[in-house]
Amino acid sequence: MTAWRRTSLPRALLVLLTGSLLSVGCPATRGPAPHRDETVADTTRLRELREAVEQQLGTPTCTDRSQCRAMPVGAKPCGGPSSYVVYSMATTDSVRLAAVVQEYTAYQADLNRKQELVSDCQFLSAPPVDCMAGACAARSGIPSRD
Amino acid sequence: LDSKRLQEAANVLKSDPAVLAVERNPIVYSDDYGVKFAPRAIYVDRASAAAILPSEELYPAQAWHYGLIDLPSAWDIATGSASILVAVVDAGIRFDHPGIAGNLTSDGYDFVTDLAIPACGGGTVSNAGDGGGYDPDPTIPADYDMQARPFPLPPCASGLSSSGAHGLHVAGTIGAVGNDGVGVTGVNWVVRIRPVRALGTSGSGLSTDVINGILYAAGLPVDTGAGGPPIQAGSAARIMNLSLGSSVSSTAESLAVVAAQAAGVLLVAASGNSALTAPAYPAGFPGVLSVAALGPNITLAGYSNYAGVNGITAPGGDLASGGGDPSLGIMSTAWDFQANSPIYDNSIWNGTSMAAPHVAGVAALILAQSPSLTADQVRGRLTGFAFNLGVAGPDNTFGFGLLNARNSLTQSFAPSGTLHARLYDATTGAIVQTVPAAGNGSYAFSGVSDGNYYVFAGQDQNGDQQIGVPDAGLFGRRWGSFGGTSTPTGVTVAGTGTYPASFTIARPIESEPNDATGTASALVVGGYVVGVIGSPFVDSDVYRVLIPQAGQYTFETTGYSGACGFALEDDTFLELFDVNGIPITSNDDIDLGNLNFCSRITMALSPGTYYLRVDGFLGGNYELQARSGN
Repeated sequence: MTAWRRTSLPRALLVLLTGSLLSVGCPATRGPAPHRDETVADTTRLRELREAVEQQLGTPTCTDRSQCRAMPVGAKPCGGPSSYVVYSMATTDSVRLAAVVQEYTAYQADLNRKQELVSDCQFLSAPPVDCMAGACAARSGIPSRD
Repeated sequence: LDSKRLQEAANVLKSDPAVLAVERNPIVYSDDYGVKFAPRAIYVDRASAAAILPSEELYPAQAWHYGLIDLPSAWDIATGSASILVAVVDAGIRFDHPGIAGNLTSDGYDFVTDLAIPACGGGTVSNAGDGGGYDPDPTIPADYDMQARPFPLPPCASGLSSSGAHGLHVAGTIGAVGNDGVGVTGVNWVVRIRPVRALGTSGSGLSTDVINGILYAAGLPVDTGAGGPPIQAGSAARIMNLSLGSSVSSTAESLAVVAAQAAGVLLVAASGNSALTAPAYPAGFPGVLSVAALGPNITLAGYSNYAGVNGITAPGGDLASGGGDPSLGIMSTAWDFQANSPIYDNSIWNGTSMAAPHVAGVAALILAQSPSLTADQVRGRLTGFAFNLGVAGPDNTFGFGLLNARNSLTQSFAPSGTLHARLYDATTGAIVQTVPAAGNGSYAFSGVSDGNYYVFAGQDQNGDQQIGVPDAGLFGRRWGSFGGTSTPTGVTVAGTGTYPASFTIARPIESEPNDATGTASALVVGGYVVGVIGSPFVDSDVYRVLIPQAGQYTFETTGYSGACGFALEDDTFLELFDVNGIPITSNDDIDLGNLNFCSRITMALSPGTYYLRVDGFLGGNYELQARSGN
């Protein structure tokens, strides 16, 4: 039996939650600035969507690793998620969560287009998740192959 | 065969008209038994073919993505040149990373505007990170992991990344110093990389910064807005890599692209990660070579935008496809900003960001071989000799297909190969004769005594006279037998006459079920087989080997297209049994410390029947060779 450790996890797997710097309120935009009323409306809508995501997430309690999942959320300007939410299949309605996450992601992608944002094209991959101290969380460290 | 991987590879081969012809070509048949042929050549059994592999300790982790573009075969032709200049417009570089420092130029520039980024612990950090805006130093001083916060608060910098420096990763694929025995290698072992910093410490930046970076990389004047004279590099880069993008087309950026192209630069850009049917920008601008990303199974990565009909595909990794197996990503140089130290191994990422530099790197290899080529000619070499994927001809999904370094350098679609026929004594397993086949595939053995024989045939590469040996890569060496490699049909010779045996050959694939000695597949000394372990510890592959005479013999597994234990290749375990199924010896890893998870048994054997059993710890592909000697 070979006992070795996989060389590493990509950067994206080492963080619990990441986010696009160039989100609402960030000055790093290009092209004409959005109209103030539009910005306020965007911010309000994003807040509502984010709160909907958090409401669906609830407290991700768990008794086993198999109950834990990571769902991509948000959109980088070059594509792919800007972060992941970790949730518990035991306490979260994943279908409803997916619906609000999808709406949130679409909205952020639309904002990326409106504000002509640019980013690198590294695709952020899902973090490995585990049931730790009774709650689902992203797992740090390197998975082993023993 | 229940191998999705092999089936996909077969489909890929079938989809390319040129390769299709090669697959159907090796018709080896017998006629004119007794006709005298040319003098017999010298045949040498060896572990692997003539591909060149670098000495880097972590190369096995890179083997799949470099193997997919036939880079080991290309390195036999060119490994780069210090006279070729490639610009990387990205997030900056680390001159103190020993894995790439020797290939960096000192004429880069930093175009990152200084913006304040909120820090999660309070206060702000700088997106420039170096205390100012535009300056001549393209070093990335910091790289932050960003964390989302409840809206309307923007994301904040949660801390320094332990595996960061996107531009360093991209540049490392193009040209991390190769064959120096340390860390990883780039597509080019030697090259000049001009680092141009346009993205900040968060991996993002202003469009104007990117535009200025493009102009500077192309040797064009850039007005910094500081009131002084424009800044300008001494020359235009021949190739420019842009592993960045936006969903929006910017007129100003398109004009910068046009200006760079007019300066003679070939621009290579990531197609984007939105799984859309059109590339992002700048990849979507006319004349920019858009690069979509493939996973190890030669399918479009789930995240990748399409290449576009004028684009191309290259390995970008697909970590999501393998249940968290990190070896499915792209390994390159990176930086640990927490320890402030270079890293090689904690740096397996995926994205179209990782695919583009494979193409930019091969473009530089082409120029190293043929420095006088124009940007359009280099582009033609890349696209015109790509390995077709999808429907015949260019398509919107894969563009011109999968980048192939060997093809682009040799301006051919496959290695040249000549056919040879080999006669085995079916009773003893001894090689009786090996003869070259005629151009139409016909062959003949002369002076054959009465008896029972197996007829095998193989294709060498570029006239190296080696048949029946595994050759990791997209093409491999065809090998087969009358009746099938796993179940060869004996030809009984009884008196003078003609004994026809016509068959086709390809890469020899195991025949399931072969989990026990009773269903074992045949394997001849001087031959090889391609196998798949479908389920680790459930599926085993057993082969029956005839040892013709007392002596030293070697049985060895290798990767199908990469290295054992990485990506879709299995981490094998090899056991040798006697004719009664009694274990004789076994081997797990050839060199665990150097990440060689293939297996090899070498020992003195007496004539007779033996069995080999291949198990795998991961499930996946392997090749198994039997040869005389070490």
